[in-house]
Formats: sequence, structure tokens, C-alpha cells
Amino acid sequence: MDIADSWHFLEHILCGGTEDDMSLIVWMPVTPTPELKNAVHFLCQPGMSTMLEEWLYEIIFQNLSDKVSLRFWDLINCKATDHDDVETTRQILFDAFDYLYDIYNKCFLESVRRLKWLQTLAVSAPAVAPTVTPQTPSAFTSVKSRAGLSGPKGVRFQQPRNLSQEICGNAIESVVCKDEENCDGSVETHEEKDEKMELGDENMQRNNEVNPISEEHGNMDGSYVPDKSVIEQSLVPEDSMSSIHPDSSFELSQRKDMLFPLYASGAEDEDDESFIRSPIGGSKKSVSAPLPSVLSGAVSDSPFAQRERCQTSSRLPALSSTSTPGMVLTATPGQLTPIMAAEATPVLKTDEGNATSHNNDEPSPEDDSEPSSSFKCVLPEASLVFGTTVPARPVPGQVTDWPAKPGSLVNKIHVMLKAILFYTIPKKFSAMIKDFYSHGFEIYKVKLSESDIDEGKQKSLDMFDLLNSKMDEMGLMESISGSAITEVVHSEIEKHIEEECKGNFDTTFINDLEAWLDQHVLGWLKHIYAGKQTASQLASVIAFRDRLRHSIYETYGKSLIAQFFDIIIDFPDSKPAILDLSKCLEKSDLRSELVSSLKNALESRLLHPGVNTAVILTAYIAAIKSLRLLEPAGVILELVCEPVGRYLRSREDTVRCIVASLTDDGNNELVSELVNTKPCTPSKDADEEDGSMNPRWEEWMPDPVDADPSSGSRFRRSADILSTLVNIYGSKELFVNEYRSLLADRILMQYNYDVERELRYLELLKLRFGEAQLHFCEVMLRDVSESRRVNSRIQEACKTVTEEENNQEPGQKELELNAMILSAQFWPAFRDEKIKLPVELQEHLDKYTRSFEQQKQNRTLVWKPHLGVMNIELELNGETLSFSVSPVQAAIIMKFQEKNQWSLESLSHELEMTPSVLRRKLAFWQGQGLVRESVQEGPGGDNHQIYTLVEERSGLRGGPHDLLGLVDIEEEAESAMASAQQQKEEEMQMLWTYIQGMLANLDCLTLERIHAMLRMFATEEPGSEISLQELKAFLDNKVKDQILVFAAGVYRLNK
Amino acid sequence: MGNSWTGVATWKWIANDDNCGICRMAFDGCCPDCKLPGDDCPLVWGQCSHVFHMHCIVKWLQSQSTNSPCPMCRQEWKWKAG
Repeated sequence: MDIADSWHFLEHILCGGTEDDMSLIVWMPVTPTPELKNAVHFLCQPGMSTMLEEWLYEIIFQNLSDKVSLRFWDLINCKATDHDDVETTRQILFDAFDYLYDIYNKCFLESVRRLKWLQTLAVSAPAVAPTVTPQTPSAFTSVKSRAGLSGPKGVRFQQPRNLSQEICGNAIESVVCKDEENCDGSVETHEEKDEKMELGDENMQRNNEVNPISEEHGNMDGSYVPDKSVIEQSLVPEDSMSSIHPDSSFELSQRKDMLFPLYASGAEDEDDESFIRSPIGGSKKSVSAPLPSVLSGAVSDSPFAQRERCQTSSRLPALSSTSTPGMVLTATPGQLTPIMAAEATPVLKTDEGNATSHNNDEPSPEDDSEPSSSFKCVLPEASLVFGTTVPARPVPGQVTDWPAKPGSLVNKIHVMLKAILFYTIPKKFSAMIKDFYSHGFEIYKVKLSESDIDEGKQKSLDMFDLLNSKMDEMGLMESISGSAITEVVHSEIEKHIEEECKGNFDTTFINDLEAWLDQHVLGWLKHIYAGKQTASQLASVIAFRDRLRHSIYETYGKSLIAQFFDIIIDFPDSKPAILDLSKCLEKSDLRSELVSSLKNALESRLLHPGVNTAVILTAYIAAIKSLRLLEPAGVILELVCEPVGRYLRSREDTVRCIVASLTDDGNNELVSELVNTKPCTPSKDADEEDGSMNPRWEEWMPDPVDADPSSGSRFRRSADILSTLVNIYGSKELFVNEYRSLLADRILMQYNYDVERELRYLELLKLRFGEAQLHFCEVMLRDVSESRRVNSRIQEACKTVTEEENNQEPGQKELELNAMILSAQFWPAFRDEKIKLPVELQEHLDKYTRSFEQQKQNRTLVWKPHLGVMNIELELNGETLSFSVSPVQAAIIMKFQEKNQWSLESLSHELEMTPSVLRRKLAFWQGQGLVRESVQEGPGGDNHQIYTLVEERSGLRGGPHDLLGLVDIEEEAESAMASAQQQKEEEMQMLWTYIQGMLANLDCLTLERIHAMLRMFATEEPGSEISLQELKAFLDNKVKDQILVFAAGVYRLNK
Repeated sequence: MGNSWTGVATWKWIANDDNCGICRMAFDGCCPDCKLPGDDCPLVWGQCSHVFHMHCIVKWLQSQSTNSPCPMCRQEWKWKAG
């Protein structure tokens, strides 16, 4: 036979003459003919094997690019529309992949199998070539196969007895007996038996150093029995030469490699055990080529298939049924990506695929049983259970460079599939894939939650599994569904967190989430990737678990960060959420995100004019507390709250708010903070500064990376809420001043001499701010108690005087005058108001002053008639009304005792009040319905406002006084103290003298210069803490008043 | 009419000056060594009619070795009775 014929013959075996479209192939049985023999020998020629392989590769490539690819995308595109529901999408995908898989499995893989088989033959052949080749006996007795391809055909192969005995001497029979009627189900067990028998054979071989040979071959499932056994037998002479070496087979394989270096890679792909050992062990396994009847759907389940399985799956050692179990653990890379290529055993898949692809609707019951039985031989339980490497069974010539076999033709086909079909994945297709997987996950969730699911769901679940296994087998899992699955998992995590955790801050979710991840997501991934439950698959899913955990921490952390403002507002209740977040921060890199997002949230939700200061403060305190809980080092707090502090500084009433809430009666956080404050112990701090050994140095933690290195960590850590608040302003003085005026207001509002509570707060404040700062307040409180003492003594004196003189008109109640006697130097400036009290009242004051002067020599009293409170009773037409009013108001109403009607002018003259102030005060009485205002035209055409005492008061009730009542409320709320603004102005006035001096001496100065000089010289002055802006405003006012001239950036005096 | 009145007043030393000539602090305040004004840090009058915080003038007189002049007018300091 010439070369061309041989080549053509080989081509025909591989492709059945359908190179152009392999999908049309009809696998014909290969009959062991002389032509085959010749072809095999032809194949033995150096390079031929490779060439054939390359030819096949080319054919497959062309098929893929010309036919399969187009058809596949047609299937996807022609049916898919933009708005498919899940069912259609799934069906389209399913059909397309079904087609692809069919081609892959039944055409490509089959031809590869045939190629391998040919190569195996070729490897075996040369040993005989020199001697036997020409006379290779034709030992085939072909039993006529029934026409058609409807089932396993019996091909009887009768081993010529004489030949085998002649060559091998004693024979150990190893029979794989398969009847014609053997069906799919029994294949596995037979194969297992094979395994066992192989082991036994091997031992025997080693003991006896003989080459067993199968004496009789059983009936094969395939319709022919190849002549491999013959070839193997023919190898025996050579083999027996080397049989003196214990590891002869290793040498043999090496020799084979030497002989056929180009085939070496192919040989490696073979199941090492069965292939390599076979020359020694003879044909323990009857080798038969499969003849799957593709079109009829019969299962190819010959032992050859098993070998084939090993070959195709050899990339993953765990699956090679005969490889040592220890390999599994050592050779399995812990893949991080969930995508594992080609994990399943193709043969099993083949069975499954064949069984199910033609009747998709009813998955074969063997789906479950088969893998589990195969696991037993693929992966011994021991290695899984113990998790340690079980010492490898010494396999001579074992190929150790698992798992990469880039040269393998199957691998090449996988690469081609990816490269030709999926070099670009259309958007629509990836969307379909994504839909498919997210739907798969939904169903999986339903399955987990409900024990029994309806038929439709079960069906889609099965379809899902089937499609997965097909893609897996073709090595497409990674490229097609990898990103989709990852995306689905991530979006499911997000969805789950969104649904479960959002807005709920009072429970911790970390553990729930982890459990959910393990149960749902990992369960699902296992379902997809580790359907066969092998160690490598589980290992990679478990490796993926860590990534998913990280992802779940990150997602949850992000969700919490987005809601952190609300968490802060909820603070004491939201502790679990904060603790969760701190766990998340430990495991993910979200710190900077937290800082920036919280900063933004605070600025947009808190720091705007619509929020009143007390609310900002409350939120600020909650933020301090929660961020301290989140991170004790306080770095985040420092970073986040910086803008809040800056904003609060710009609000005028901040200090007042802080101080007010500090000394509030209500259950205020700041009060408890104040009460709980431990007196600071500077000595201890100093020790630490010295660098002396801190007993807790072992617990020391470095600051986080984003900490500001210029500020000390100890300060950050130790700063409590109050000092943080105080530090908004950078000085205690402002706080103390504010407290002073607040205290003054309180004392002068209540007018009782009870200062016990205030004293308590003062003591607490002293602990924090120091005695010196609060000295003034101490004096103020002492004034109050001193006043009470003096007061009671004066009252006593008055009483005795009254009793002695007894000249009071009977019936008129004595006005009891108590006084608050204050040390003016220590009180904040009082609001000034001028009034001349009626003589009756003034008399009382004078009397009191006299008796005070008697008591305290050389001291006198200066009354503040507008301050204080007077309880008066008015009798009006027999009705007695009692009021609690300021002395000014009392004075006004007393004037109406003299006459019923006053004009505004005359009354203001009488009381020495400005008319505008008087009108305001009168409004109170108008509001009470006691005084009526009327306009009278004066003689000169002027309008005079006349106020008349109302005799019939009831007539006015419900009148306009309701409206005027508002005035009275405002009046009452007025502080006794000069406002902060007024105080500031006074301080400014003090600075003004300095400024005038400067400008007089230096002629002209810039704003900055003036500011700097004021800071330098006027540090003693209370107003020296003036900001540049304030100074500018002040100076600009002076310019407006034409006292200063501002030109060319400098101020000068206007001369 | 009326039954009670709580008035507000500030007390004040009856002196011919506002500030102590020694410590330059207000009479109504207290000398630098004192915390509390009024009874605890009284004023004293000399026969020369100058007024000082008691603590201030005592300290001054103690610091003078030979005679004890009034810091303001250099006359011999004589306490003005009562």
C-alpha cells in the first residue's frame, strides 16, 4: 500500500470522509484489516503521528470556524430577541450549547479518540516492525455486525491461541467480559472490576516477572476488537528482555519516548498506568475502540472509553481514575477563581450527555449514581477524609508534571472553541448568560427554602445543571460564565444586604450574612462547579469562599457607610451596626471611603442653616460617640468632624448651646459626660511624655495610616466629648465666659436664693476647666448666698423699725423688699436701662440702702431698678389681680394710680424713660387689658398717644391684647445681661485705643499688621482674641464714620 | 398694693477713687491675693484720705524698713479709725 493510500485510510478513520462538515459524520466501525496494519506502520514513521495530529487539528479548526461557529451564533441570534423572558433565554442557550456539545463530543472528541487509538497502535507497533511486520498475523475474526447502528454490536475476537502461547508462554487471563447485551448501567462496575484486576495483575507481574497475556478476549461492546492486544503481545520479546529490571516498564516507556520522541506528549496524555504498564502486563484490559453509534444515541461504553476518559481528563489528576490519590492534593492548585476548566470526567459526561441529550425532559436517574460510583475509584475516600497525601503507589514511569498539558489535542480543541466561538462575546449573549445564571440562583434559593419544588422549577434546575456540565466539559465554563457568575453572585450579595440589612441598625448582621453566604451562595457555587464533589473542586470553591467573604464584608461595609449618618443619629440604638462596620473595616479597605462619604453626608445633611445649633450639637456628640466606638484611636473622628467643628465655630450660639446643655436639668448626655469626668491628672501624662515605661506597652497599637502625625495619638485617644467640644474653639475662656453670662441669667431669672444645683455644676466644671477660670462664677454664687444672709438681717432690722415707728397706714400691706447684692466686678456687664422709679418705690430702696450701709460700713448700694421682679396685686373695681412683673412695669402701672390718663410724653418725662422703651413696656399692660391706647389730636396738630386705665376690663378681654401678648413674651425672654454683641463692642472699644495709638505713631498700617500688633501688645485684653475678619469689619466701620481713611491697602487716621 | 419685691443692686465702696493705688485693681474687686471681694478683702482709709485694699497697704508697710509712708502722698501712713 502506498503512502497516499495509508494517509487517506487514516484520514478516513478519523473523519469518515466528512472533513468539510464533521457534523455529518457517520462513525463506521474500523475493521482490523491489513490496510489498517499498513496504515499503522505508516504512522510509525517519524513525524507521521504528529502530522496526522496536526491534520486533524486543522480539520477541526476549519470545521469550527466555517460551520460550527456560524451555526452556533445563528442559534443564539436568530431566536433571541431583545425582550426574552427567562424561559426562552434558557431554551435558546440550551439549544445552542446542546448543538455545540453534540459536535464537540460526537465529532471532535471521537476523532481525537480515534487518533489516540491510532497513535497507541503506532507506538506499540515498531517493536515488531523489524521482525514481524510483514507477517503480522491477521488475527481478526470479524463477526458480522448487524447492519445499522442501533446498539452495541458484538464483535467476537478470537485470539489465535497458538500465537499468544508461542510468544508469551504462560498467560494470565484477564478477561473483560462484556456481552453483547451489556448496557450502560453496568459499564462502571465492569470498569471497576478492571481496575481491581489490573492491580492484581500488576502484582503478579512483579512477582513472577512474567508477562501475562490475555488468553482470551471477551466480547467487546464495540463492533470490532482492535489488534492492540496482538501488538502488545508482539512486544513481549522485547519486553522480556527488559523484564529483569524491576522498573522495566519505566525504561520501556523511556525507550518508547526515545523511539518516538514526537509521540511523547501523546503518550503522556494516556492514562499512564494502563498505557505504560500494558506492555508488561500484557493486555489485562482488552483494548477495544469504542464505536459509539452516534446517530442512534447508543452509549459508547467500552473499556477504551475509560482509557479515553483518563486521557481527556488527565489535566486534572484528581479525575484520572488510576492515578494515585495523593496527587489530588499535591497537584491541585487552589484556584481562586470559581472557574474550573474541565473538571468532570468526559466519559461520565458522555454517558450522561448521551443519555440525557436526547431526552432532556427526563434526566436519567443514573446522573446521581454514576458520579458517586466513579468517585470511589477516582478519588479514594482516604485522601479526602484525612486530608493528607496518601503515599503514592509507585507507578513506574509515572508522569509527574501534572496538570498542564498544553500540547494535548483536547486542550487545543478547547482553546479553539474559546478562540473561534467566543473571541468576542456579544453583549446580548453575555446578558443572556447573566439572566440564565441569576435565574438559576433564584431557583436554587427557592429550592433551599422549600423542600419540594414544583415540576417546572425542577425542570429548569435540571436544565441548568445540564448546561453547566456541558460547558464545563468543553472547557468553556471560565470564559463564558465566569464573569456572569461572579456578577450574579456579587449582585445577589448586594441585593441580599440591601433587603436584609438596610435601615436596620440595632442588630448585628455579620454572622447572618456569613451563614447566608455559606448556605446560599457557596452552596450554589458548589452546585455549579463541584457537582462531582471532588477534592479539587471543593478546594477551589472553598478558596473562593474567602473572596466572597471579603466581598460580603466589603458590600456590607459600603452599605453601612452609605447609611452611616443615620447610624450616627440613632446612636445608642445603632451600636450593633457600628460594631459590624468596625469588623468590616478590619477586613476591607474602606476607611477612606468612610471618611469622605461621612464628611459629605455631614456637610449636606447637618451643616446648613436649616438645622438649629442644638441639633447639630446632638449629632456631633453622637458622631463622636459612635466614631469612638468604631475606632478607639480617634483618627476617623478627627478627620470627619473637622468640618463640623469648623462650622460650629461659625455659629454664634454654639457656646451658649453647649453650656446650656451642659447645665441642663434634663437627662442630657453632656451632663452625664460632665458628671462622669475624672479629674485630669497632669502628672501621669507627664510621666508618659518622659518615655518612662508604660506598663501596658504591650497593648500599644500604632496609629492608623491616615492619622495626622503632627497631633499626638495620646491626645486623640484620651480626648473625651467635652474636651472635643471645647476644642472647637481652641480655648476654655470662651466657654467660661459664656457659662458666666448663662449663670448670671439663671440667677437673675429665678430670684430665689437657691444655688445648690448651680454650685454642684460649678464644682464639676471646676474639675474640668480649673479653679482659676471659674473664679468669677464662684464669686457670683457667693454673692447670692451672701445676699440672702444680708437680706434676712436687713429685713429683721426693718421689721423692728416698723414696729417701733408703727406709722404705716393700717390696711395697706407692707411691700417686702429683698435684694440681690452683687459684686459688679465679677458679673458680666448688665443691660442698662434708665428709669426713675416712683417715689414710693424709691423710698423702699433708700431705706434698704440705709440699713445696708449700717451693716456694711463704707459700702453702699447701686440699684438696678430695671432688674428684679415684683409681685403685685392690683385691685380694680373690687377685682384683685396679681402680676409678677419687672419693677419698671410696676412703676408704670403705679403712675396710673395717680391719674387715669397719661400721654406718652408726660409719662416718659415722669419716669425718665425714652418714649420708645416706655411704649414697649406699656404694651404689656395693654396686653393685660388694663391700659387702653388712644390717639388724641393735640392743639398744635400733633398726635398724642393717650393711655387710659381701663375701668371695665372685661369689655376688652379677647380684644387686641392677644396680639400684643406676643410682645410681652419677647419682653420676658430678654436677658438681664448685655448681649454678647454689646460685650464685644465694649472690648473692641478697648482695642480701639491701641489702634489709635499705633496709627498715630506709625502713620499707616495694613490690616494684617494691625492684627499682628494687637496680638502682640494687647494680649492681656480680653478682646484680643479678635479675628482678622472682625477687625476688618470694625475698622471698616470706623472708615464709614470717617475716623479712619482706607487707601492703597493701608489704614490711617483721618486728620 | 403689692406684697414683695426682689430688687437687684450692686454694692460699692464709698471711696474717692475706683482703683487701689497699689495693686491697680478695682476697689470693688479684690486684691491680687484674695479670691473674694467685699468683707474678705476690705478697704482701709488713711488719715491722708487715701484708700487702699487692706492687704495691699499692709504688705506695703511691711516692705518699708524705716518709716511707713502712704504710697500716694508719701506722708506717714496713719490708719483712719472706723
